[in-house]
Amino acid sequence: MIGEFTVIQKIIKHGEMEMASLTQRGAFVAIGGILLLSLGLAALGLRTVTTMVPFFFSSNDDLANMLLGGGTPTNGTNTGANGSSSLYGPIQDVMNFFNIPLPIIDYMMFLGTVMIFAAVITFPFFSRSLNTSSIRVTREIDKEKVFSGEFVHVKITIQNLSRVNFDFIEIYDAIPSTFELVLGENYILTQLPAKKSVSFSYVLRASIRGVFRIGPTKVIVHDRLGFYTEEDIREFYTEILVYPSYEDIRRMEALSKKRQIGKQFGSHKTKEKGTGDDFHSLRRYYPGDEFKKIDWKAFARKNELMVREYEAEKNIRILVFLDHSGSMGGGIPNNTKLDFAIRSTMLVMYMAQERKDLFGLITYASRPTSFIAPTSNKNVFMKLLETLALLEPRGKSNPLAAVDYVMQRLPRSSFYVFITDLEMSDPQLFVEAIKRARAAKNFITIISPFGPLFEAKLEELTPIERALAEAIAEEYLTYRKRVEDAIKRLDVEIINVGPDDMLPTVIQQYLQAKNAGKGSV
Amino acid sequence: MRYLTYIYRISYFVMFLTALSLTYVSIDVENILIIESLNDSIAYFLGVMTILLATIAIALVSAAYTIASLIARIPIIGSLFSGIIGDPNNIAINLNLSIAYGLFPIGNQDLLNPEVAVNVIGTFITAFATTLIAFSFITAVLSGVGFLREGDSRLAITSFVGFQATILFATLTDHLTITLTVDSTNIITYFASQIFLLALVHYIVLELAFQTAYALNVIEPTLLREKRIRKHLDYIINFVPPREDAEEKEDVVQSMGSIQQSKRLDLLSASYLREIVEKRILRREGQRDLGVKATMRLQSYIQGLKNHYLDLEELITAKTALPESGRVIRGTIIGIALRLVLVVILGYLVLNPQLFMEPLFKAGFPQLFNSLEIDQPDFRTVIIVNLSLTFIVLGLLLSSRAERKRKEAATSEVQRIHITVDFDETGLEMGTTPQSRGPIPEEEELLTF
Repeated sequence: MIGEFTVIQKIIKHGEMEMASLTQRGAFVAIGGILLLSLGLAALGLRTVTTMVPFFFSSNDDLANMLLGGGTPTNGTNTGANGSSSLYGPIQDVMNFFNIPLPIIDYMMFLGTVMIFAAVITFPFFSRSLNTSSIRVTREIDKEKVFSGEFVHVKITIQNLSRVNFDFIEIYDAIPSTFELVLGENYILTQLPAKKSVSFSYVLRASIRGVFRIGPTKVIVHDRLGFYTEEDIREFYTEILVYPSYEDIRRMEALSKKRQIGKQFGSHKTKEKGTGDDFHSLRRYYPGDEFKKIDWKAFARKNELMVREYEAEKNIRILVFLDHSGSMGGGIPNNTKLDFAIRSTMLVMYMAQERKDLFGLITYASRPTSFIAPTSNKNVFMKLLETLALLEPRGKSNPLAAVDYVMQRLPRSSFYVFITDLEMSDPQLFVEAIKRARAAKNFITIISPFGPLFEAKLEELTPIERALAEAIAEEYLTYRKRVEDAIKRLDVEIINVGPDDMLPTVIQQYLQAKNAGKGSV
Repeated sequence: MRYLTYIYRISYFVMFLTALSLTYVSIDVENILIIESLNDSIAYFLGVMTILLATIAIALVSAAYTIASLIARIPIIGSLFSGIIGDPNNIAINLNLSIAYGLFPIGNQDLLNPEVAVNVIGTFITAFATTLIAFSFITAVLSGVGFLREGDSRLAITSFVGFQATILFATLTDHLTITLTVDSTNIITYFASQIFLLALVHYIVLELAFQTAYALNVIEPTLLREKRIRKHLDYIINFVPPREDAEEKEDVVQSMGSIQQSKRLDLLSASYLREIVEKRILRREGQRDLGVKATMRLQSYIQGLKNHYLDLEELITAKTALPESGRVIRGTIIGIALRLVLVVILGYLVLNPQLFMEPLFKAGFPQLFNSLEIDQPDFRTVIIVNLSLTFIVLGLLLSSRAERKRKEAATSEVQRIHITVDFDETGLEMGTTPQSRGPIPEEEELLTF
């Protein structure tokens, strides 16, 4: 309803719809007619000139002969051959060549007239009845939210609401350039009888995350002979939200099945003493300890009261700080640092969800742009996906603002994973952010996609390019080293990654943190 | 449905043959379609070109020798130049000219004499016009046949132009053999005359060509599309993943390790490599580059869609877009008949304005009716222009009226939506859709029609 509203508004505001006009073919017929008519008129004019030529070019004798004898001399060559100095003879010959008989002139004028009328005679009928406003176009898609790489079925229905037949109608449905048309066509050429409808459909494949619009739809109406056309662009759109690819998760699922990685609660439990089922260690009994925990066999051995302690089945609280500043957009299209960062986040998010860990996400550039507090609620998964789908690389990076924002809302200790290329932020700002986060007893890991590795394949470069690339890489590394040195004493590690080892590294970090109980709940 | 296209093609072919034979018998074929005319035209054309080239060459040679004579003042270069080219003074430019003119068929004639020149030009024009007639006629025939094959209306137009050129050139060179007497006592005898019959037939052929092009444009693309998409659909539905024995070879990993030391792939990376190998195998087989997994996913997606849309195949192949054959034929017959009658009557009236001037002006304005101007072509032109403009203006008026109605309808629809939707409550701004999130990309960037 509201989509239609937009269309209607545009009609009122801009008068987008075009009036009926002549097509190339129609113009040809009309111009052809005018040309024939002009030729006829020209030929007629030439006939008049031909009769007047003798008066202009003949000698006095010729003129006298013509006037007295009546009629024009028909053979000008004779006059010239007789030694006359006038040009009458040859010119008359040329003129005679163009002396077209009257019926042929009529032929040209008639055919010209017929063609002109043929081009314009049905124009009022076309304008009156064949306007596009009586055509309703509707678009239906099978799902509004898809993962990148998945398919969308788009069905277009064209209804003729009028009582007039549309002899020839063209419909083009615009699709986003990032979508791939995998089956069917997004246009149709057809006839549309009165009060009837025609449907067609096509299948698209979404390849890049984000919000995309299908539309507008172009409606072109022609008359039967193709002389006139009316074009109308229907500005109605269907939005599709494309989540990042689910492929990595699928892959992970497949691998997990193979390796039988436990996905149930506690299979990757934190090694921390507590109240679980698995034995952890023995310790001395202190007053207040539960009697049932006393290990009598140990008492017999050591002659001292000992109590059993168990591993706690605790989960961790993990929060990903995802930097989406402008520099994160660097890299091969669709495989930028940000794309890899999103894929990594999705994987960790999925694994955390499977293991009942609390997962949270904050995205930031020059300021925090979205925050989802750590939770194990499965319903948040789609919200997280949506957030990731809409991320665009823009602005500078301000990790300090993100850390401040989080610490005001999340006072408890957590495992912070920064995914940032460290390229568009002030090193001091970053160091300060890390300091504050560490001061609040958070555990921190920094995964840093290394720019040069995302830009080009080193082995594909020429020796000179390679040398340059290595020099640039060296500079990047120096910069990182400075940041690294500054935060070394805070016990925070920067892990530089390339496109191929980024995902495994992020997973590895998560699993290690889980094992070590970093940020345990 | 394909038979309908054949019906149209056959109809066009019949009318085209009629026009062809009428034109054929209307021109003096024996003196037109002769090889001598072509020879003459080519010879004249080559002659003119030779003279042009010879003149240019002579001018260049003269310039070269002028420069050479200047350089020749330096003895060594001069003798070297003379040794290679010869003595400039011995080169007879006129001789060269006469050789060039000798190639021209009438090169020995005195072209400076106006009468001779006119005769030469006349002969040339006649030969050239005859060739043009033959060329136009052959073009018309070939284009007509081409239209039958391709269904491209531009070929039909070329054919029409070819026939008209044939008639025009034949008239200019006195090669039109048709009876040129016209009996304009009434419309029937008027159009019974050979010359107008010829015009009518040509017009009908053109009109039928457009009708045929219409039928072909509506039917053939839909049929082809159905065939093409069905084939693709069958491929997807019956897709069986190829057994690939390709080994997953180790690749250079673009990681930090690659800068320091090469690193072995882990399981996750290996699965990416596997996908690349699969894609390569598919590309070799010439299939649409979707990849095995994507094709299999599309296969299961299509299966799922089939459960939802029972008419999925018809939808995707757009089978319902095929027009009804009866409607198409009916439209053609009625359309041609109506247009022909209207156009011919109007054409006749324009060429014989006294017919409608008599009842209109004879009684009230005898001076106007008896005026000599009525029989003048200028008056006919005025009528044609006025009548044509009347249709155009009427069409534009109706079009703008339709536009106004459309806007009125849109305004009332907006008011209705205003009443039914509370924009404040939905938090939407007017002109946005409920799904709108964030900035919408530039249209130019996104759209592909």
